[in-house]
Amino acid sequence: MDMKISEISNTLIEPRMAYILERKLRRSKLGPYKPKTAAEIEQSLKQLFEAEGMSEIAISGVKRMTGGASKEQFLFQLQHSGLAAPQGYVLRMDPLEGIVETCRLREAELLQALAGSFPVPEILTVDAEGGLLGSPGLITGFVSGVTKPTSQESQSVSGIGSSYGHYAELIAPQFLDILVRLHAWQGWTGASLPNYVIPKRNSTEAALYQVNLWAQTWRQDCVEPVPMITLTQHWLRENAPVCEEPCLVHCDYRVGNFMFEEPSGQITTILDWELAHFGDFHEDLAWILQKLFGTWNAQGKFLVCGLMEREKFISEYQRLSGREIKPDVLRYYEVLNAWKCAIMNLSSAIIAGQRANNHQDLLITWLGSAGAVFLDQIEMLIREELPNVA
Amino acid sequence: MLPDISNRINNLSKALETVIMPAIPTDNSFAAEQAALMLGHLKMLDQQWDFAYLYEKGSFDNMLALATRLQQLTMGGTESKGAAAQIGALLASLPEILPLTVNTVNDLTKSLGAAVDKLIAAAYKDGSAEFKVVMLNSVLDYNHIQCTRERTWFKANNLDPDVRDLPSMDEMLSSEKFSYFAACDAS
Repeated sequence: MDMKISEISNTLIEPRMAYILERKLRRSKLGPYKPKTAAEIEQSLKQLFEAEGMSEIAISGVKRMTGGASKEQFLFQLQHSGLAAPQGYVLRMDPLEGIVETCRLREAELLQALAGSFPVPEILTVDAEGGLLGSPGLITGFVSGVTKPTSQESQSVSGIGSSYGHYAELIAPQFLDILVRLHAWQGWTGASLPNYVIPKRNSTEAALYQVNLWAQTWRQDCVEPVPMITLTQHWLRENAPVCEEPCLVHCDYRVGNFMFEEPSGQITTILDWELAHFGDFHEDLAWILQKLFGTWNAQGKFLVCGLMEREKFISEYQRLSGREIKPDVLRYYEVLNAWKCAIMNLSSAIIAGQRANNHQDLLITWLGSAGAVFLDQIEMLIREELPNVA
Repeated sequence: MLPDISNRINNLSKALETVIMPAIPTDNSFAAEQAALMLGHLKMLDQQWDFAYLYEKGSFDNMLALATRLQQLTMGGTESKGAAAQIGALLASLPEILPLTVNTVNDLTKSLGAAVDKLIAAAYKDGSAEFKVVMLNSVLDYNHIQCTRERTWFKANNLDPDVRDLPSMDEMLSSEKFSYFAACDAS
């Protein structure tokens, strides 16, 4: 690789994300992290709402939400002088460190921009630096629905490996429709998204922004060397594809990250926009196709996100979007995504657990043990890409 | 060793399952979830602890084989040659008899892994095209074997979609099929 190009490509990292990673280094030294109590949350919320200018504030029913390997989440009821009746809200707060480090301010900006066009939670307020909440946090309106059929609630804590039973047929078309509309969304051109960077069209920037972000994460959080991670980083730089037209990608669009109503199967909300950025649509597709998020049905067929077979997902996406999926670009992003997941599992999750800096140390350590699944996936994909390697 | 480690782990699991978990109020789902995870970790630990040294030694042997192979085959400019020389020095400094604890063997694996990482980075700067192909093949082969070992080690986590393709713990630990060291030796 030309050294000059390599040096330039290494500087491509969204400024806000560079700041977030640097902030994580500082916050990681404040541990160990103790999960917040309901009383502590109530007190912090009151402080925040007072600073927002609300009066006659009453907070009740603070209840921790289970699951979620990255953010500490609480449900609560808020009443104040401007409301006729108490309303339900959700607080999403950053532990000192977790399986993934993201930005509540970016998430709030994006949800604001998407409101009205997509089923997203309504923003109440954001405490970007945690000055009042104690940790960075985002408060959104409560949305009804479930993330997995209630008849199968015991399947997993993070939604991974869930199957939807008869709901799959109801959910799959909506899942595809929202994805296609998201990739076609042009609302960002007039939206206020100051903490996002749009990669240059017809360039490799879309891929390189991601490679640089995750390479920096690996450098910061590495617990022990993994040759496949190091090799893949260089492979990704050498093989970065050109993205003609960057678009918004959710980047965690999968089982467990949307809510639906029972018994209609109607999707009510798309959750967890924390990894969203502007990039190549293939990146979202490759994420959705990851084996860890799928299940095997009774007929022994593998279902993407527990919803539909891979071939059907790909052909339906192409039909609905009018976009052409390029197999080599899709494979590139499958490698990139498996590499990102391996980094989350084998470095960020493990080091947060080692330093006891998460509210879910036990869960992230458990998830960390799946790191080799992704390394195996990377190896298989690179061998497919380069037949002479086999 | 009395009481032995399995005995103590199983007692912990029993206390958790039969006394502590039923005592968790039904509205405290966070505590219930944490307890379930504790139980899962304890059950996995019980399956693993007796084989931990064997597992780490196998991981060390595989990393040693990868480092040795790459060091012997390096071709390229000064950065690549320098990184290969560092591996050579590290290999020469390894103890004749391996330490006897899991953590000390793991420390040796990590130091070899760091040297391999440096060589990979160097090869992408000034390694020969031929060496880069050999390196890619070697890392993929090593990864295949080491990943299968690790996925088998953690298969009780129920997170592996291809768990049915994995060998048993005994087979993974004893068969040469799962040793990159043996594979390199044979070639």
